[in-house]
Amino acid sequence: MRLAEMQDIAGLRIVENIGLGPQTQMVERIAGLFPGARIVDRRERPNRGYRAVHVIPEVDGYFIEIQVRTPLQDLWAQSMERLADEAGREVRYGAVPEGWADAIESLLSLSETMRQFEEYMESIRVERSQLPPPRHVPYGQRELQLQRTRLDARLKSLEADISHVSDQIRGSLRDWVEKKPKR
Amino acid sequence: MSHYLLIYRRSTGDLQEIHDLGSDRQAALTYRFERERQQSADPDVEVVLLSAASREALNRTHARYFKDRGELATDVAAVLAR
Repeated sequence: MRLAEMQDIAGLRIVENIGLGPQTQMVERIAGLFPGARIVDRRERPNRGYRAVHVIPEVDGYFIEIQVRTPLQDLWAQSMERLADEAGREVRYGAVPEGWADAIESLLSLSETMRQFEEYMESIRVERSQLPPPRHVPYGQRELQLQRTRLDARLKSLEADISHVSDQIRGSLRDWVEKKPKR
Repeated sequence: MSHYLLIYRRSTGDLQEIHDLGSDRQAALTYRFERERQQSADPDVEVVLLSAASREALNRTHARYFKDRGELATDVAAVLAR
C-alpha cells in the first residue's frame, strides 16, 4: 500500500479503566485538542464486533488515529486479533475460513454480551449519580426517600441483569478458548 | 517513552524477540526497517515497533502479542469481577 493512500500513518491507543459515559467524556476532551478531528464511534455501529471510539485528527498534513477503549472493548479487540493470527487476517473483514465458523461466531456473540454488560454498568453509574447516598437523605423528605427506594430496587434489578450477562460472557469465553478449527 | 521492537510469528502466537530500544525514535525506526527487510520473505512474521511508557503498559495495550486465548479470557473474567 502506498503511504499516501493510507488512512493514518501513526496510531495511539488509550485503554482506560472507565465505563461508557467517562469514555465519551475522554473522547470529547481529546477531540477538543484537535479542532476538526473526526470521531468514529464504533460502540454505536460495531465493525464485525469491534467496539471502541477513534479520534482522527490531521496533524501536519497526516492523519493520526487515536483509539480510546474500555478494558472490555480492548480485550475483545485483542482476542479478535489473536484469532486472526490463527485463522487468517481476513477474518477481521468478514471472511470465515473453513473450520473457523464456530470460533468466530463465539467471539461475535461475546462482543454483543460485552456491549450489554457495559450498558448496564453505565445505567447503574448514571442512576447512582442522580441521588444522594442514603445517609444524606434528610429524615422527613418523603419524596426523596421514595425516589431512593425506587432507585435501590432498579439497581438490584440491574445487578441481576449484569450477573446474568456476566455468566453469558463467561460461557462465550469458554467456547472461544476451547474452539479449535474443524478440518 | 521507550520504543520496543517485537518480532512475532502469527500462526503460532510466538513472540520470538522483544527489544527495548530506549527513547531514540529515529534509531528505533532505522532498526525496525532493517529487521523488516530481513524478515520480508516470511509473511507469517510480523515486525512491529511500539512505543509505551513501560513494558507493563505495552503488555496492557497490546496483549495480543503476549497472551494466548486462555490468558485473555482470564483478563476478561477479572474485569467482570471488579
